[in-house]
Amino acid sequence: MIIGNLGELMSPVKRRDFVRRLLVGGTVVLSPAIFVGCDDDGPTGPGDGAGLSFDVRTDAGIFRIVDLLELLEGFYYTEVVASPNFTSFFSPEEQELFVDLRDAEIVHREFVREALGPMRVPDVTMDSINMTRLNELLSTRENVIKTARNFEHTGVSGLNGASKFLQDRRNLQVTRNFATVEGRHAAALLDIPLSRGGSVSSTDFAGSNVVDGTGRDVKVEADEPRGIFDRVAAIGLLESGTLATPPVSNPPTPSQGSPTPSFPPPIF
Amino acid sequence: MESQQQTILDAVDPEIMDRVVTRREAIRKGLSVSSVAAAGLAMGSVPVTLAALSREAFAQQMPGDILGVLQFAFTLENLENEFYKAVLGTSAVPAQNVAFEQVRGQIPVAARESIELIQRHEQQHVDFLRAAIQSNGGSAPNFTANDFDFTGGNGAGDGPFLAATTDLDVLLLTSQAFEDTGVRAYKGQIPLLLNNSGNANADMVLEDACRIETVEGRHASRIRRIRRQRNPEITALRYSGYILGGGLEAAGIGSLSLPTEAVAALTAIYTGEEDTVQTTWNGTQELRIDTANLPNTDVIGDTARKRAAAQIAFDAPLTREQVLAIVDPFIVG
Repeated sequence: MIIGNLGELMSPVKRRDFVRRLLVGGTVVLSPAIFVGCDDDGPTGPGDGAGLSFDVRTDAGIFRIVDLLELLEGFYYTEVVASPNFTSFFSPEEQELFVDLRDAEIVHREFVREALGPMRVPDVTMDSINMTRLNELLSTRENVIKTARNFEHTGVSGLNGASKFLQDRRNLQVTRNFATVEGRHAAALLDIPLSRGGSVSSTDFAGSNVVDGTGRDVKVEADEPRGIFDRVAAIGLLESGTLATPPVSNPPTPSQGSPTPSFPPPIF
Repeated sequence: MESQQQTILDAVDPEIMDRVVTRREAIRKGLSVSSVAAAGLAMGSVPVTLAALSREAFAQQMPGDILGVLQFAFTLENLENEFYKAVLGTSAVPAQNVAFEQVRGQIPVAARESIELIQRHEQQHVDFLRAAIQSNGGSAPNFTANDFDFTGGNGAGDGPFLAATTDLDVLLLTSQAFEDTGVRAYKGQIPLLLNNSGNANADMVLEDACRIETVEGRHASRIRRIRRQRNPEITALRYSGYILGGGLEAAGIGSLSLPTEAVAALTAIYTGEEDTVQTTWNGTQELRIDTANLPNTDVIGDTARKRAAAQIAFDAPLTREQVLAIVDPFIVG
């Protein structure tokens, strides 16, 4: 079975085929590498093999980080919902939550990719996905919920930390328009128990690990230690080497703003 | 610009009596002040004057004014905080605690714990914003529950949301409406805080507003989930905590029978949430992208499903004027 790009993987027939093959231990043949290193902010396509990097001096550079996260989230949640375990892992109410989550992240992904045009991040292909890790993250209810929480936590943190660096009012507006939706996700995911039928504290949706003593939500900088990219790496879906070292080629300029202390302190 | 800012500071200065004298002078000189404010001044009613003048000052503010944004948010957070304190029976105004006695007994433990946490956050927001206002050279009034009418009756105490004091489902709906209004209000103000001048203080205020905004989103999500668990048939309330659709549909009132004014208020609170077009600037041109019609989204389903997905995927801003119109009935005077 050959998969060219994520778009193909999204088509139901191919996707079912793909999942089935994974389940029966079939071999997935990967197409020639598409998602190889890409020059900084350059057009999609084969690059110099140095890995993806991000120029945060522009709104487009910040949107490309969003693009990367949304690509991974859209891919992962599509896998979650398509998994044969989906209906046994989750109650009907929780299934609704995850379908909504998948749909919203796919809309975010395609929106930001439409906005970026040729500046978008190359498609995620199976070359860049760690299959062993993917299967692990799909293997239990607990792993799925924890992974989703990690993604949404990273999303809210990253958007709250990066908003101050945006330079166009329209881009700031649209970023906030989806940032609070990520906050809604994050709260809902903290409001379901890790074990099916288990219990969850009625204050976990906004507990002291995600809201500080002044009533402010999580935030993180893109390129600080244990920042956005370290968190993406910790989730482990991306093959190592996919991102450049360091992933941020240029930090924000002084006129864009300065980094601020992050909350919470490192979680990984 | 300078005179605008001065007006704002005057309106919310805690040294209210001095300022009221100034206001009175202003009114005598025929400057524009609403009849409500004028009546309050004539009666010497400080709370009425404060609320009415604050509203007018806010409505006059210029975009980009950091202090104005902070003070606007401060008033909304006080409204929420005083509402939840009254609900929980911890208001400093005994009459407000009494007003919510009946519904208080209906709140299940889990919901009460969530509301207690939400109230603590609103108090933290009040305290944080007060400090931010002061550090930006402004002053912040001490609001009490006497400044607000949670029934939406402008102080009459029998407004269209009176049932929130006796019916748990209306209470939770009102809470959801306040939280979603908060999310949308911050969303309308945050872009006004944008600056590209390396002003670290302005950046900090912008980031703080963002971080408070997503907390309001968490609150709204939790309240929506509580309501859906109580009313599984109201599918406009998503287990994901999202807002689906716009206008009255997005409020998810189900079979609740509400006064016309409450229906109109809820419709206003959610107006525009159904929009699917998002605007962005790619460095060269402005793009208006219809997120209900994007490529690579077939896994979502048919056209109707894609439209719903586009609606839940983005919250939408409210302007300061829209928010003021929404909260006006909840302010005494």
